Amino acid sequence: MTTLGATWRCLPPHLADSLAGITLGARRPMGGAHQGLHRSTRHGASVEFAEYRPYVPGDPPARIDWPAYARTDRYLVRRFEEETSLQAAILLDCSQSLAWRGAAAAPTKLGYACSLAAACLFVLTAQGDRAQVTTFSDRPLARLAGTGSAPALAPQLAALDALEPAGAGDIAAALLAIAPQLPRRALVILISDFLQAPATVANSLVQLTRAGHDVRLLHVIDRAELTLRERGLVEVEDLETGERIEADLAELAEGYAHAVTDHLEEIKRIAHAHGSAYQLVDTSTPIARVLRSL
Amino acid sequence: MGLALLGAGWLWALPLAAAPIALHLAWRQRRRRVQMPSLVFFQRLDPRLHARRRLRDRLILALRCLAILAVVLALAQPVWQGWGGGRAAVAIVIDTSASMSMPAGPGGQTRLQAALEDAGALVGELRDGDRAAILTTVPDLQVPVLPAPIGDRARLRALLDAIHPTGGASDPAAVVLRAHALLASAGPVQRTTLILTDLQAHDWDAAGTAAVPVDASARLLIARVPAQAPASQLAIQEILLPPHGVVANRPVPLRLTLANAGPAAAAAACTASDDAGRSATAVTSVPAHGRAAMTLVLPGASAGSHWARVTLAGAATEVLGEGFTAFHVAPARTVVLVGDAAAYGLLPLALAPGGSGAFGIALTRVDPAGLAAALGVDTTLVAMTLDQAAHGLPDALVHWVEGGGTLVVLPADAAAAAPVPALPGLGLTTAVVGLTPPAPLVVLEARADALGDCADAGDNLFATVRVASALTLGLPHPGPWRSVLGLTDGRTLLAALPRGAGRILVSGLALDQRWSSLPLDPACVALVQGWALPRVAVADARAVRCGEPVTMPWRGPVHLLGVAGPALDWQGTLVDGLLPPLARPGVVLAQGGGQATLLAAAADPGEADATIRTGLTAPPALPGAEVVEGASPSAVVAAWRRGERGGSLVVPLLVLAAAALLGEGLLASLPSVRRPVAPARLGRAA
Repeated sequence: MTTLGATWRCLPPHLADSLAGITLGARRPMGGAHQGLHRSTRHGASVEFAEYRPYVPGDPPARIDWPAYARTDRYLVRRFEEETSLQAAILLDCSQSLAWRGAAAAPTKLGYACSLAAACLFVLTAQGDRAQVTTFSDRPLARLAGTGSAPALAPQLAALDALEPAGAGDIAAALLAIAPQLPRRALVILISDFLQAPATVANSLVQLTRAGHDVRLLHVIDRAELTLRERGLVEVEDLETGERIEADLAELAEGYAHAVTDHLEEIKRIAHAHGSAYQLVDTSTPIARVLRSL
Repeated sequence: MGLALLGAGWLWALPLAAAPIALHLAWRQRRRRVQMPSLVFFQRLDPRLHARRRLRDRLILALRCLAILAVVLALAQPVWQGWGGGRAAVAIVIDTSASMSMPAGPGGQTRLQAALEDAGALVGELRDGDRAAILTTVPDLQVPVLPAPIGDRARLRALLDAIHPTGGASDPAAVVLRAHALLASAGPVQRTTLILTDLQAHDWDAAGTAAVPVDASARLLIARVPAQAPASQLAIQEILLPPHGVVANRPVPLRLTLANAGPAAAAAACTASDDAGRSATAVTSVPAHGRAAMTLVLPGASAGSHWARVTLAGAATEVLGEGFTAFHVAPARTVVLVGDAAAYGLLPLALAPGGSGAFGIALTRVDPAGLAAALGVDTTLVAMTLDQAAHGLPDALVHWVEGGGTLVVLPADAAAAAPVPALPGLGLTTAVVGLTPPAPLVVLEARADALGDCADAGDNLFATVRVASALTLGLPHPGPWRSVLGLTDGRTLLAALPRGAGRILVSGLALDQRWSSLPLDPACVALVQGWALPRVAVADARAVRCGEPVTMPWRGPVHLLGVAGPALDWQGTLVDGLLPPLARPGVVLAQGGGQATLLAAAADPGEADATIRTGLTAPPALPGAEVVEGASPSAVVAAWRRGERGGSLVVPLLVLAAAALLGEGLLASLPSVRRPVAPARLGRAA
């Protein structure tokens, strides 16, 4: 496993170690200019067997080398000369709502999201793919260009460590500005808490899927925000907008839980409707498990 | 219209109505703040969650403030005053009966002064368009009667200033009827009759008073002024003159009857004084709840009209402690003795103990031949002996007797009784009796006119007189003769015969101590002087009661002139032969119809009774009245204002407060958010 040679808050050593053996593959042919692990959109340019590589979900089962399986009891895929590299874009939502945490000991959603982004960055880079991280709120904030080697991730990881939540989130507006800068047919990993109207999310996905990207949604939540654990008449403040309302949380608890469930279901449905992979992750879920399921 | 606050002192609590807001603001500062990543889920529940809750909270606050405000205003007792632009007509009735001169409280103010103070405050409260009239419960010629209510406050105050205590009793029913008639002329306005009185039981619980029908168009309000029991409840009840009239130079005995309505016996000191400044004083004790008689004797006055004033020290009120009487003093009476005066024994001395002319009786001796010429206007008694009468009575003498004179025939004074010839002219016979031991002289007819002032003595009269020698009189039976005095066996010694307007008295006793001890008895002087001073009515002075109308025998114009007591000079016209009541004790000369009558007005002694009606129930005479405590002018004004159409707003305010609290409770119990909508119904716009 590639080592980083330093300790980053968003990617501590134990997390980096846990990512060993995890690969991220595209579900559709990529158009990368470099040789990589992923199916190329070009066929027949070279069919010379180069090496075996482990099977990753997404690989066509027909490419499994069954004789090799018989010998090794492992799913292996033949790697040919013409397999291309993956272009990945990690879009990280840095709006103020991700600054929330359910408990003092829990990480903020942004901290967790940064760890997710760093893990994706690390895995992709380790598997020879190029990845970049773009932060946004209601507009693009920063673009951390990808490198080809893990040791060169230090600046990106440092930038992730230094990331602070800012502003209100507007995914559609941000992606409108980001989309033109994305590589062709890239793996787009969108990390956000999606605390916006589902229609806005749907609009943003349309922009990505039409461009042929392989979109993966990582819906970051904190379990504490799924229900109202407080009671009584309180003043509820929106972290992003600062708007305040008075609410009797006891009265709203049931309806709030329903509203959250409905919202999560709606986001999931929209993601699937647009052919995007969707995964709901809460801040207590191990990063490695998330990436394995991605 | 206007709003009055009867409990304005509660207005200090108005800022309490802002307490819910203050508490809400203070609580808001301490409200827990919870940060959430986004309000999107709250807005998903109800897009108007915050707005709806804020509106509900503000409504609840407003209702709480309204409830407190309504309660505070209810405590301030607002009353909605008047209608029709505030026009009201009020008849202010002042109780001027004698009891109103009693104290209202320890401060020395009388009840009448308190009532006038209340009336003055009410006059000051009149608004533009309001009108008022002033009436008194005791008619008073000093207080003009308004033909209709007026709005001139200065004139109303002048009327109040003219009101003074009277000696009369109140007639509540009569004055209320007058007030209603007065208010009826005011037109369609809020009408009120307000009576300021001490509610003395003597006036207000009088038996036999017909109740005034309830008038729904006018409010009847009785305000009880403060009343403190007086130190004394004494009053002069009656002043009587001698029934036989008053003659010149003769002492004038005034018989007084005093009344005590108090619970304890009281000493009474009375002083009588006449127009000449002569006076007499006496002291007596009057039992509790009783009466006492006493006599004040004024020195003899000259012939003519006179008046006397009696004052009672320490009476319940000044007017109840003052009495007047008027009397005509006749010239001295003349007694004619026919023949030798010595023949009449002690009779001349008994008639005129101080000499001829003293004590109003002048003695004249005439020969029988000159008797007719001696019978003058002032001759009231002719004395002759039985011997002289035996020759018959002259026609002139008989005619004189029939005209109202008194003839007394008695034995000539001698050592003992002697037979007397028959008296055919009189129809009597005589018989000589000698009594050993001397026999008692008894009264055979107790109320005989011949006994004069002695008739009141009863069986004690002449109880010590003993008769040793007498001529008994044989009276024809049946007949007009009456036995007046005699012996225990019924034999007559003094007989009386009415003759025309006069009388003939025949005595079988000579006024000689050799005949009997009658001349030595003090009653003998009263007896024989009574013969010379027959009972006559004092026709030229009438006793009237203060406050009561007086019936006069003529119609037309009348002039009232005060002679003694309060000044009075009034001219008017008799209505149905009734003279306007005299309000205060005094002597008034009423002239009219070619006549002049002296009127002696006396206060109503019943006004000395300090018993007051307590409680707030209407008196029997005024069943529709509302009774309130008039503890102060402001209380009276508030009671008047409270009854003006519109009424109190206390109950509506309390109802409003209750409704506000109910609404607040309902709003507070409502959920601030609609029930969660089922997931299937949420929009699924892609």
